[in-house]
Amino acid sequence: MGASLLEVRDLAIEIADWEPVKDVSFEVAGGECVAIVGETGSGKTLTCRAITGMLRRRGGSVVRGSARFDGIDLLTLTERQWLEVRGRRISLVPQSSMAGLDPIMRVGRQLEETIRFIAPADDPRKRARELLDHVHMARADEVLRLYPHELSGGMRQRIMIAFALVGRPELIVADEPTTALDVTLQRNILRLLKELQAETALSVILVTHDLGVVEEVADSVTIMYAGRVVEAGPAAKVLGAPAHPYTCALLAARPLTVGPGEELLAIPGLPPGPADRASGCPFAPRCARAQARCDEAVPQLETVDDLPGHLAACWLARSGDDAA
Amino acid sequence: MSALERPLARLRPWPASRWVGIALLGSVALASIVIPVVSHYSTDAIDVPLQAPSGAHPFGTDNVGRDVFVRTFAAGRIDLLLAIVVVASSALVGTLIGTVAGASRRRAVDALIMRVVDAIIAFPFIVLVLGLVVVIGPTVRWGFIPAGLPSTGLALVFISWAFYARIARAEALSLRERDYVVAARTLGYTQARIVTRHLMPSTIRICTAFAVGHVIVVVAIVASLAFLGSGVQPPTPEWGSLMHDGSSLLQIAWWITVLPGVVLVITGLGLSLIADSILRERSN
Repeated sequence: MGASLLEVRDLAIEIADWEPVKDVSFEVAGGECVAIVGETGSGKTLTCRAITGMLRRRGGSVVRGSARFDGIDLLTLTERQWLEVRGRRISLVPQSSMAGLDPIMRVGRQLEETIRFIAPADDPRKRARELLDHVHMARADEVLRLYPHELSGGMRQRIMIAFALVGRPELIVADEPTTALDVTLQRNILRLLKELQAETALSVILVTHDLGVVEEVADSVTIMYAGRVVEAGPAAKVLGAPAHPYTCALLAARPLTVGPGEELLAIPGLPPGPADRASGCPFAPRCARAQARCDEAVPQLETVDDLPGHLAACWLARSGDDAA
Repeated sequence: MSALERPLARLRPWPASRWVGIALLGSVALASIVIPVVSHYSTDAIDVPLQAPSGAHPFGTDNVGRDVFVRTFAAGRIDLLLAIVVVASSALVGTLIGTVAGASRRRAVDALIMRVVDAIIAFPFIVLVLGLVVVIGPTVRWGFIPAGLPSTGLALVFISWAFYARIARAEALSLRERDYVVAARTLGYTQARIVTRHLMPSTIRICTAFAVGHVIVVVAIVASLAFLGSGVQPPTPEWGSLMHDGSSLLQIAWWITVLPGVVLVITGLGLSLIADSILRERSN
């Protein structure tokens, strides 16, 4: 693992007088797979938008913080400068593979058009084939002649990954790439991402809310809640010995942990919305172990158990209690 | 069905009404192509005036003794050809303008184009067409194109594109937020490329259902204009002017007006059946 390729520091995003992302920091090393985990509305997607320069499109703006990618300050790039980075050095794999493909253009023609535009090859057709082989697409020649609606969801998602690879990027941001797929396909797609990452020293940011997925493919994990990072660290540490009650609750809520016939464990309540501006820890109202001080001030991210790299933002984890 | 098999939707049989429509329209079109070529009479050869329909003159003769049968189908050539040209050019121009408006990043461009569209659509259609024909000049002729055709065609295209623009813009507005269009834009594709390669093929498809219905309107308007004397000018045969010629003689020579009218109705019915079956298929 090399030095840090992407370094996000204290990123805060504002939309219409509300900060859905507050002081988010994380790092992605060269060739590393970082998972960002959190429930809907926790700011995962907005964070991805910010580091791919597509925040303005959603009416948001970065109000604090920095995001440096290989020495480039991503937050100050103009739209023109972004063209040099997006698709060429940082690629995005979207959530829905159906909307990502032009429904009335054959897959091959679309892929060739993108190749000509982003990374011209001597023989775009051959390069398109190579890319499909790269993502293990069966019957690649046939697939190139088909329209997107003639493909299954899994095939389309593989094609989306092929599109992301066109410009030979150093970083792929995969925003819930498997949400629209069924469980067996999810594994296949994620293994593919993992494999590509290992083969080409690619860095991957994997946004997901499936902790099982994280365990399998991620090197490190960042857990987000209500726009803040609540826990971060190497995947094995965070999932094996979670320090934040929210992470514990997420792990406990996994279907795997429950036997047949037993009730699934859910976290009571809902995450805070724009109207909630409590001064304390945002998770305190739903936390089983909340104490008086949890409502008073927001805990900062601090090293857990003197393990470098494993951070948690919880008063309880800090006091040295055995949080798990 | 495996994912690689092509869906069978395209092979679903067409409804009977569409086949009837195609048969009606097809027979008028075929007759218009063939009859003026094979007939013994030309469109302005003179015989005994006001003969009733007979074996020699299936539709009779008019007040100067011209064969109404051959004139009706010679008129069919003009009417159908004009309708096709008008519909194709206004669909193309309108879809392009509407797609550009819908895809434009500058809202002012969109607003400006759409206010022009609103203004055109707000006028009563036939009045505006008549006015434009007068402005262009009802007797203007281009080379071998008969007098009245350029003015009628231009006036119709000038107004009709607005309807296509409205349909295309609505479609473009929803398409521009689709991921593949956003992706094209964020990768730096030019606006012209996005509009022509990725948006137009979709928007023009949406417009085709309207286009079939539009053909009927154009045929009716072309005939109406000629009936009123502002359309295709005599001696060029045209359905509306044929009917107008016979209208004062309706009591003594009904065939001059009624028989071209019947051909016009058959054309309209055929087009309606086709348009209706397409719309029904789209709505399912």
